[in-house]
Amino acid sequence: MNVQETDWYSPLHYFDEEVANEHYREKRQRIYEDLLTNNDANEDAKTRFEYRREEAQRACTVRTTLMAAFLRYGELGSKTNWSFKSFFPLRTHDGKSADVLIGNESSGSIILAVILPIRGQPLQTVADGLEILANARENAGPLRDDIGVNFGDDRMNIAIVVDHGRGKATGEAIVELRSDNDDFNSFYVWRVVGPQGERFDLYTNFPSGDEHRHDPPLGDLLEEGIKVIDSPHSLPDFFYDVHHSQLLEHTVITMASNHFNTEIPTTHFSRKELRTYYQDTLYGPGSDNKAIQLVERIIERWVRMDIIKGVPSSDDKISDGSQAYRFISSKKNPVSIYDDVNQDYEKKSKEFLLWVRATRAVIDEYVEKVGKQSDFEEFSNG
Amino acid sequence: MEIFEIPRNQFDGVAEEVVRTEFADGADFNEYLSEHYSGLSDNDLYIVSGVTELSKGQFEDAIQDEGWETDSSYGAVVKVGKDYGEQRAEAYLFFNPENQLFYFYTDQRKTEEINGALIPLLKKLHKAHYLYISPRILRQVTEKIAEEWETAMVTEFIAKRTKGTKVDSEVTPDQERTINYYSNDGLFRLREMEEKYGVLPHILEISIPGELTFRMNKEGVFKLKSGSLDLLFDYIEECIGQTLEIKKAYDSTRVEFVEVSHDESVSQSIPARIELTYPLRYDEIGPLEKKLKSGDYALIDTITQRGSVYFASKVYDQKNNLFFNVRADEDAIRVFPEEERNISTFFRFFEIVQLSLDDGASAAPAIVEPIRQ
Repeated sequence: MNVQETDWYSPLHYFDEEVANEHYREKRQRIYEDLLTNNDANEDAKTRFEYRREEAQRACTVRTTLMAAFLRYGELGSKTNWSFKSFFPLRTHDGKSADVLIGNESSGSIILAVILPIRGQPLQTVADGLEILANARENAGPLRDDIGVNFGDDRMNIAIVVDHGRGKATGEAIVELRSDNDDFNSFYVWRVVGPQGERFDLYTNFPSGDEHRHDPPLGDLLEEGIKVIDSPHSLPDFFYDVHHSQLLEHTVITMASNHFNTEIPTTHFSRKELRTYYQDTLYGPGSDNKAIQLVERIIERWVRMDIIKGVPSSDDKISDGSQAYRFISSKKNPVSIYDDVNQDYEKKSKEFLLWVRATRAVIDEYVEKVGKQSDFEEFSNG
Repeated sequence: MEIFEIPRNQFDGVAEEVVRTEFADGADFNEYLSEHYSGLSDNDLYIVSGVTELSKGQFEDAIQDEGWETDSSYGAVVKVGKDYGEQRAEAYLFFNPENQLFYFYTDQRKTEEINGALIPLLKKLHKAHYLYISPRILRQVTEKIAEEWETAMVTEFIAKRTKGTKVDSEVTPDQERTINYYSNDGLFRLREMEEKYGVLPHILEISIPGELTFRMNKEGVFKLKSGSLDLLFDYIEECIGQTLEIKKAYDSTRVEFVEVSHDESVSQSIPARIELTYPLRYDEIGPLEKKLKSGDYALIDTITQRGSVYFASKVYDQKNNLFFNVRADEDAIRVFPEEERNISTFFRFFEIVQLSLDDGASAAPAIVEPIRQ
C-alpha cells in the first residue's frame, strides 16, 4: 500500500497535528462539500480509485503468473533449470527491489524481474532496473545467502515485465539508455498477461536489431510463448502493495469466517488476528514488519472511512490482549457481512479521496499564511 | 414408522433364506433385497446415495457426530438410526470403500424421516456430497432404458431449462422454464419438449412393465416402487460414472509445500479443470457470478477481462466455510484448492457451472507438467 497510502496519511496527520483549529476545520468541511457536488472532482476520484485497483490487481496477477511458471510443475520450472526463488529480493536493504527473482543453480545465474506499471513509463522502469541491478551487485553476498544460488557477478540479468503492446516501447527505452552502459546487454523484455489470459513470452524485436534472447531451453520456450493458466499456482491473497479495496474484500471474509459458528460475533476481529493473517499472507524479506505497517495503516484508514469501529473492552469476546474492532454491519453470516461492507465501499473511498483533497487545499492555504511548521515528509513515516 | 426388519433368526412364518446376519458387500445386499424386499415391506424403497472423500471408518464417525448411531451390524451393511421426534429415522448403510460412494436404504416416509433427517444429514456432513446426476446423464439413462426395453415408459417428469443450458430451443430460448408432466407417454413428450422448449429432466419416473418401476432425481435419490433392485442398480451404475469422473478430478487436486530458498517455502495448489463444451463468453461471467452469490458464495478480488475471456477470483464457500480460487479462459475453469479442501465444495461449484454456464461441462484432472530430471 506504499505510495497511495502516504497520499492520505501525511496530509491528514499534518492537518490534525499542525493545522487543526475551528476555522480550518470549518474551511475543510466547506471545501469538501463543494467537492462532493463537483462532477470533475468526483470523476477524478473515481478514476484514481479504479486505476490504482487495476494496477495493484495486475501486479498481483503478474507476480503469481511468474511464480507459477517457474515453480515445480510449472511450464518453465519443470522444463528448465530456472526456478522461482523470491519475491522482493533485498527489500530490507536500501534501494529499489525487484518484484520477483528467478534463479538457475546449474549456471549460477539470476533474473531479477521488474514489472512495468500499466501507466508507468518504460524509460523510468528500465532506469529502475539498472538501479536494482546495481543494488543486487552491491549486496550480492547476502542475496546469495538469501536465495541459495551462488550466482556470478556477470550472470545477473534484468527482465522488464510488460503488458502486451508495450514490448516495443520498452525495447526502445533499453536501446536508448544502453548507449552509455553495457549493463543493458543483460536486459530482457518479458510480456505477461495479455489478451490470451495468463500467457508469457519474450519480446525480441528491438529497434537496434539485437534480440536480447536467453540461452536455450529458456530462450526457446519463451520465444514460442507459454500458457501458465493450467500450471499449479501459489495463491497469495495479496502483496504489500495491495489496493485497500482488495484488502477489504480479503479481510472481511477471512475475519468473518474465522468466527463463523463460534460465540464471537462474525463482524468482530482483533488487531492481533489481522496481523497474523497479514503475516501469514505476505511473502518476501521483512514481511513481518510489512504486515505490522499494513495493519496500522489499514485500521486507521477504515476507522476514518467508517468501515470499522473499535469494540469497547466490555464487549470484546476475542480477548487476545489487542484492541478489538468490528465491521460496521448488522449482518451475521460472512457472505452477508461481506456484501454489506463492500456495497458502498467504492463510494466511501471516493469521498475519502475528496476529504483528503480538501485537507490538502486547507494545508496549502495554511502554509501560505503562516509558513511551514514542520516537514511534511515526517508524517509519511509516522 | 419403523424401517423394514431383516430377520436375524428364524421365527414363525419366516423362511430360512430370508434370515441373514451378514452381507459380504453391496452386491450381496442388493441381491438379497431383490429377492426378498417385497416380503419384508409393503412400502417403496428409497436409496439415498452420495460420495465422500472420507474412509469408511471416518464416514461412520462423521455420521455418528451428527447423532446417527449404529443400531445393528450385518457385515458390510449397518443399520443406522437417529431419534426423530417421537420416532426414529433409520436406514441400512452400505459404504463402498473402493470408490467412496455410499447408499442409505430405507422404506420410511419421504416427507418425514427421509426429508426430515436423512437428507439433512447429507447436507450437513462434512466432506461428503449427494450423488449429483446431471440432467444430461438423467436423459442419457432414460434413452438407454428406452433402447433396451421396448415397453419402457416415462410416467412422470420435471424438466427445466436453466440459465446455462446449451440445449437448443425452438421457443424463446432465453426463457428459463420448468415443465411438470404426468402421463404414460412421458418419454415422447420429454423428447418433444426438449426439442421445442429446450428442457432437460431433473426428476423422472420410469416404468418397465413387469420388470421395474422407479423414480430418480439429480440429487441421487432413487425410489424403487416395484420390481428388480438388481436392474435398478444397473441403471444407478450408469449414473455414477460422471460422479466418479468429478471425484477423480477433485482427488487430483492438492496443495503442496515447495521449498524455494533456504528458509522460505511456498504452498503450490494443483487445480482440477472443468472443461467447457462451448467457448466461455464475457457476457456469461455476470450470470455465473450472480448464481454463485445467490448460493452462499462470496467472490473476492475478482478480475474479468474482455476479448479473449479471462476470469479469476478467490471464492468463499459459506456452507463449508472454506476458500478456493478459480481461473478461467475460453476453454476451461480451473479450480485451485486452498490448504483445507472439501469434496462437497467442488461438487457444489461444478453443479453451479452446469446449471448456469454449460450443462455439458465435464470435470478432469489438472494438466501437470512432468518434472525435468
